[in-house]
Amino acid sequence: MADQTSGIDLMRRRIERASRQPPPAPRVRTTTAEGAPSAAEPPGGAPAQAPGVAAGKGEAAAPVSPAPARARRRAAVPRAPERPRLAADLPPVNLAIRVRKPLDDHLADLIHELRRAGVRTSKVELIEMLLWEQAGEDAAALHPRLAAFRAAAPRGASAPL
Amino acid sequence: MTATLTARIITVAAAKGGVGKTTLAYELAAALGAVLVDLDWDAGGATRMWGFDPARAARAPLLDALERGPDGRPPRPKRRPNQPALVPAHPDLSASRIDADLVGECLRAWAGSWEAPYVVVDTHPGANPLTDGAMQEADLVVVPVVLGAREMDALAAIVEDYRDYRLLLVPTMVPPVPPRRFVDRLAMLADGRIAVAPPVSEHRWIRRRLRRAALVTQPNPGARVRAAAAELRAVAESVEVACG
Repeated sequence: MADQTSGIDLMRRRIERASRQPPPAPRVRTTTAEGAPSAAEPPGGAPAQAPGVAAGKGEAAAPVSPAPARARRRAAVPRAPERPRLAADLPPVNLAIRVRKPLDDHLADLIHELRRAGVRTSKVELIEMLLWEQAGEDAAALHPRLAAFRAAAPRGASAPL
Repeated sequence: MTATLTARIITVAAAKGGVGKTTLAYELAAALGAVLVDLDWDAGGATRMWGFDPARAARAPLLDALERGPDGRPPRPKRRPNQPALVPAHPDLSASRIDADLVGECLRAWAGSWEAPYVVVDTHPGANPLTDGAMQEADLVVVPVVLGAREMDALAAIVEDYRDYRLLLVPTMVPPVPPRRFVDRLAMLADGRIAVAPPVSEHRWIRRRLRRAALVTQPNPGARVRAAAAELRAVAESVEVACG
């Protein structure tokens, strides 16, 4: 029976091996008051200066928590939006959307342009990409964009915002 | 006469086509030093893979031997270096009215007359008398499994229909990262009582391969042939273990 489960175990091992984590957000250099960039952070995320050591000469060695610096850095780095992970084997859903012709023409032009540049894609992939990019956005942020779209391209039955 | 008692019949069967049945049967036969009996009458099967065109042959040795019955002269396997010994299929097998019992009896009788430790039978997908006969007589039924939605549905039907048979499930065309939910479903279907062989990875280049030599016996193999052959030999070992 030990041999009987080996195939399943081997495949599960492959799954575990494949769980790649996305890379962290890029590190940015914080600037000092004079505008000169501060020392780069050493690898591993540890601060260049030990916590608790005062920055200025002769100053009292008051314990300084690294938290504010970290918070500033976090504020400076734009947070990567939470987007769904789309595995290749997820079941597809047929949206069956109808768009107005100029948009379809634009999509076709885009595909041809990309193809001339050596990139093969499709309408479905482009629309899926737009949806995926949108998935990380706030619904509130969509409000003004939707209003602008309705003003520029009204449909007959659009409800007022 | 010892061969009569010990020759094992391995039937490679699946409810669905395109799951790697023929490739697996061909390689298993080569790895186990077995005689490959091709019961798949469609063109594009093991017979054509071996290099034999039944449409241009004057006779249909397998069909003739089945009609002679288990007491008649068995078909003589064709042999070539680095390829499995083959009893070729014929398109007319599809129109034959040979019943399952006769197929099983013939295979058992022939297995005794060929001096090979194993007989590997490649079958036509789905239920038909030839496949049924080969499965009923088999010491082990090897079922290639592709980790896909419809393929798993087909496997569920096989596991249910053939629950009294000795089955060995062989995951084939397995991608580098197997889809977890299908691996879990396979584990659920196997349920600890059906053996699952080591997986055979998805080697897309095999479809473009023109060589007739089996991967496991190919002389001077390159890196990718060696890798695929190692996986197939591991499956052959699990077949030997499952046969007991």
